[in-house]
Amino acid sequence: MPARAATSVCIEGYASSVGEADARRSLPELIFGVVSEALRAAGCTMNDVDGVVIAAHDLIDGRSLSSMITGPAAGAYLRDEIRVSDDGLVAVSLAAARIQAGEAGKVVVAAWGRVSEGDVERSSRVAFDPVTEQPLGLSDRAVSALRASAYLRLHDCPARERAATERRRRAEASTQRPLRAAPCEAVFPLRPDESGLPSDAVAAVVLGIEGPHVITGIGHGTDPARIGDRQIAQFDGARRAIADAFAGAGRTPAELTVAELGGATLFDEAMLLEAAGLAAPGTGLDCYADNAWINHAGGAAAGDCYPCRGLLRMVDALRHLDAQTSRRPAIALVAGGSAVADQTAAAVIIEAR
Amino acid sequence: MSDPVGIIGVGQTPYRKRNSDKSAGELARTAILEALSDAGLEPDAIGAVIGGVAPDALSGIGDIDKAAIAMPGKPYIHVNTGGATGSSALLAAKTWIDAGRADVVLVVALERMGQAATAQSIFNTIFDPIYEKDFVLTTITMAALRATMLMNRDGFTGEHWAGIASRNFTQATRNPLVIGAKARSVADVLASPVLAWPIHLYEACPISEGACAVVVARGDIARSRNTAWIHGTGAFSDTYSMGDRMHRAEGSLIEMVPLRRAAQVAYRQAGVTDPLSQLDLLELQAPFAIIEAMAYPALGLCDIDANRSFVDKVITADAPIAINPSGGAQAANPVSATALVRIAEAALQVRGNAGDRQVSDARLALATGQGGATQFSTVCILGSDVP
Repeated sequence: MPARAATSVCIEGYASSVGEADARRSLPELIFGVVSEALRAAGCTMNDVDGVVIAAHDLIDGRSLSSMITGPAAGAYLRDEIRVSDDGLVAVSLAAARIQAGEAGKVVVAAWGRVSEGDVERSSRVAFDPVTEQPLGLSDRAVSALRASAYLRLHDCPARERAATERRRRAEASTQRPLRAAPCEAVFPLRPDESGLPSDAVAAVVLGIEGPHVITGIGHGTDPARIGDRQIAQFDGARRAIADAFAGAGRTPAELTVAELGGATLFDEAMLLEAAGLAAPGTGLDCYADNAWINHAGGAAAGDCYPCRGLLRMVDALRHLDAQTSRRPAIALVAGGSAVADQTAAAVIIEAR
Repeated sequence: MSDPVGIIGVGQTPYRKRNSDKSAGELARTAILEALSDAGLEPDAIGAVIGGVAPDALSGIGDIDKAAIAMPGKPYIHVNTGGATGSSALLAAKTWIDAGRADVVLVVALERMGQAATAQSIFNTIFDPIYEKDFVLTTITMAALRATMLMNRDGFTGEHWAGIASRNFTQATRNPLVIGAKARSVADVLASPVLAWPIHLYEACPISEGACAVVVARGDIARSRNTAWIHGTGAFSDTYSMGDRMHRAEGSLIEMVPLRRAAQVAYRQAGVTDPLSQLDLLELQAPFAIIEAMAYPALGLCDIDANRSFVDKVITADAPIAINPSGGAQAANPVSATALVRIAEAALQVRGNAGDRQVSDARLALATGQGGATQFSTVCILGSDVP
């Protein structure tokens, strides 16, 4: 059933860090810094927090049980802590459920991924079936390329160049973007400026029951595991997640003022636009190019690392909502996908009042 | 007050070292179908699925749960808190229901560690590579260090650890899900090879594979069935480094501070003020005999300074409580699933469905989950009566 908050769940503080390799700082130090910043923004300390929900992946963090060393840096010491090996938006959903259930009044949500230490692409390869899929060289990046290829076969894409240029412009204007990082290696038919910008990323939000940003809808969706069983040129799981989030919030796509779609590439982001009902099939790239309120910071081009992606986009959305001071209510959609190659998806509607 | 929530269906595969003839999906499917059948529900009734697999590297395939457990069209969450994964997933399911997200949630935990030749080396990398590796700190030596601390502090002997292990092995012979269960005497345990003094081979958990599923529900669905009601839950996380747990105001390395706090929260919810007289049985997620011994005072069964005499009573079956009637994690420890197995066994007991291992008139049971060298701890109290 779509999740509509019986108890209003608010975002009381947020922060993110997107950077390049910095050997002077350990992963726990990066996490501690961002969580501390989110707590300061929320006007509270860990003494006010009841629990911590983490999104992190052992293989990407390069540790057999990542949250052992990273959990305390996120504030989990002698608190109720749980970790999901999923995208950061899943952690947001579970943390919101804890507040809705009356288990907690304030929860820290943190997600991270550090490409300078963990090989995200290699980690994604081992998640595919070792008999039927791994021999094909599948990886998250390869699946994104397959999606783009299928999409290009189905649709003329005259706005492709324009959308890529606009995405790059938005990313370059973003103050959060790392300066020297290079886009990841593109897999045909994707081009380098259509890919994401692999980064060392940490994001955190403090959820509570007070604050200007209210989570009014949450949705989840799940696709079949095997790539061959999916409709490759569309995100059916994300479509379900977004539809449920809209239903929970009692909102429609036409009411959005902010959209942050957590795709790995421009084509993934454009297809998510279509899954959200913001663009008709085949027009996602046009929609992306023509609307600066969609992935206004450049999406994955401004910095990206699974499983932090969805929470990064959420923080981008919150910054954008705060900039829309003349529009109230301002309404944001955030969507993100989890392993394997976006098999599971989560979506959140946030309203600034 | 929210609608009470309980476990209405349990499904488990047998637990053995390796399932060479079954895929991960087949193991999960076996447990899921049995749990749904026990609950009298079809898959359509499920509102969400919460899966547990941890650590991500253990099975040799990343995110193995996504193909084996996740159901297309159903919300899915992958929980990972090490050895506590199964119980963390159960607690997340309760949260999901209490939040009004679903009326019925399926929890599935799966372990495939027998497929990887490197299980112990994967466990060994949980410890800090700079500050702790030089001490050759592993999951086994970590337990050994605590055992020597207790021997030095309280006069425990090797016979105490062997006695706990012997009781667990003997009880496992009544559990048909533990494949290869064999009764072992104290002498048998003490004659087994030393892994890291004073820990013997038979005081440590085996490598185990298998899957466990439970169906969690509320409202009329739960009230109309034979339900193991959730009376209380608690979860706490500790600091990482062993050295940081040695000397601190909250309690030392042998005191299991997060387990104690989790129990206190769960007891408060369940109205338990005297656990030894109110609880009928315990299912403890203790992969080593020493870890089980440390759990007794943390759960309030005895004072920490009286722990040795309590262990003496446990070994001679004079303690007024049943402990690990299933054989516990020492008999079978499918890491991702083991904490959910403890809850499933507790549910079977209070529902009166535990077969040959049934504890007479069991009405209130406690199950623990512990992971990450006891960094993560959960407690779940289940009862026959509606809370």
